[in-house]
Amino acid sequence: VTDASSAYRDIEQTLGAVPPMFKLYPAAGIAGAWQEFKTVQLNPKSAIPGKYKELIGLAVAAQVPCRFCVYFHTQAAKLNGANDQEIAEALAMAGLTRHWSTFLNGNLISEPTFRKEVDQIVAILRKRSQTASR
Amino acid sequence: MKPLRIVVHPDNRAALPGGTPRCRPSRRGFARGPGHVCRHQEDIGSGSLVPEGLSEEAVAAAWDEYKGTELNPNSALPGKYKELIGLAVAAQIPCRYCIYFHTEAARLNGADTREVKEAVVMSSLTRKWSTILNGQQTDEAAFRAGMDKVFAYVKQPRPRSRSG
Repeated sequence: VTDASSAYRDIEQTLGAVPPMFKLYPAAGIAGAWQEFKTVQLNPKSAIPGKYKELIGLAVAAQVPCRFCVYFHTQAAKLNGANDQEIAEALAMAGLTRHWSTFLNGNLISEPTFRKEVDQIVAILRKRSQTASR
Repeated sequence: MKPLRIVVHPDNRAALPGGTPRCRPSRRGFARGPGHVCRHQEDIGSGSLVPEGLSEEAVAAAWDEYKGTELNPNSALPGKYKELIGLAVAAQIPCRYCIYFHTEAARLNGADTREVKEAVVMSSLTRKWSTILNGQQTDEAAFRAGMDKVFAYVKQPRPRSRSG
């Protein structure tokens, strides 16, 4: 894939058609955009399994919020084997993150103190899990 | 900047991680039902991250929600992926506290650098396509119809390409 026409060809071969989202992308950049999409999101050999990549996408989409993206990532997560519980939990995680972000930022919490406390907690939990696995 | 004040009751401070926590309702009123502060400590070993700013009514419920969802090892998603989801959301808010927390928590749950990077990239990809689709006032019905065709196509069983 080096130019727009080879990108559209590759999209059609991979997805069966060129969906509207790729038609909306400027032709000048579609080769790179498609390559990125394919090698990250669609790549079964990347670091994170497809199901979790799509749940990550869904969590982000839900709080943008982006109706297109919510639809897409929900379907794609299900296609990758996600069940309703997993979908609900990904959404809850997005909500929790937004909730604590609002709270921490709104209170202008001291960042060095926050980091120090996180470090302490992580150290305690790491030690505990090492003890438990012994 | 408000300092992050530790709200653990003195009776609970003595309880070391792994030890037997001595639970008593806090004088501060955070442990309405005895044990909220204590349960917090049992799990995290510290009463921190509950800054003074959180209203007293909200503390117990907030902790129960957090514990039941994010810290629950028996929930639907493994801890590592819950934290990577948190990181992905945090990165595009952006929330510096949350990014730090979820990165550390993901690593604690076994995530490596590649996985951390990929979660962040998935987040940025979602934001990118959200911008394009929303910015161009895409027709939602047409978008769904086009995507449904793709999903139907990729669901079809296809012969595996044999290479060698």
